[in-house]
Amino acid sequence: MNAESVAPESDAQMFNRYVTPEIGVLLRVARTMTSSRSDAEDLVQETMLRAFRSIRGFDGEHARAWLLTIMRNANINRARRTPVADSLDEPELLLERTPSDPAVLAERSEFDEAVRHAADELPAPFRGVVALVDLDGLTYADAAAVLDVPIGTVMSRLHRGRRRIKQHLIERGLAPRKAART
Amino acid sequence: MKRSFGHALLDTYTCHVVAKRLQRYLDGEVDGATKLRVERHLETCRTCGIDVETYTRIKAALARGVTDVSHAEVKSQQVV
Ligand SMILES: [Zn+2]
Repeated sequence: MNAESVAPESDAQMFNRYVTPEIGVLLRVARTMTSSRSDAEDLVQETMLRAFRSIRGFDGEHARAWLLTIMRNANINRARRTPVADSLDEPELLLERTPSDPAVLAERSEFDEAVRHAADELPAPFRGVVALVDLDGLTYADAAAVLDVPIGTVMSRLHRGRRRIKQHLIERGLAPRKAART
Repeated sequence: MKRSFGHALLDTYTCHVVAKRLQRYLDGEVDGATKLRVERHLETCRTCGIDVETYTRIKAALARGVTDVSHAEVKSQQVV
């Protein structure tokens, strides 16, 4: 028997297996949770550090939700150190990601612009969930981990947020008005 | 009408039920049976079909925002 084949994974191996594949998602969500790219990168670094420290205790289930919870807590600590930040339980989540490239701006359709405008106008709790699910591509469960709210809350906020966006589009003639239900 | 067509193994959803499940359906957060029932309803219901189109376009427009991140201006807006 080869003893090495049953040797437990090292911390570094576990980190590579569970954490490394999630870095892209963490960066996207961190960008939503923070106001600048450098803050987002700092937050992800801190998250990875904390994850590495506690990787031994991680059971291998739902790595993304585990990491998002770590990141949420790290962000609360970060916000405490930053005097301008408040509302720690419900951090302001940002949709604004203005492209600098004029070609990209020009490419945007009127529809896209209207959607983003409507999304930016949403009340913060709705906007946050829309950002996490539609921009960052999180599942409801993972968005719930970031916000530390029940999945039902994620769903109701998301649905109400999207309905408002749709209403905005209808008012601007960019989406068809609802016909009578059958 | 909750049940229709007799031959179906699955109940057919009404518009009202579809409306309640639609967001979860679009987000891939429903089980296989629910997905099938929603799709069965959408095969014949234009009203719900319009909703699906609008919400799908909204999701896609928001998702396109993600590609901006790679060349995003760092926004110095403070969290207030
Ligand atoms: Zn219908």
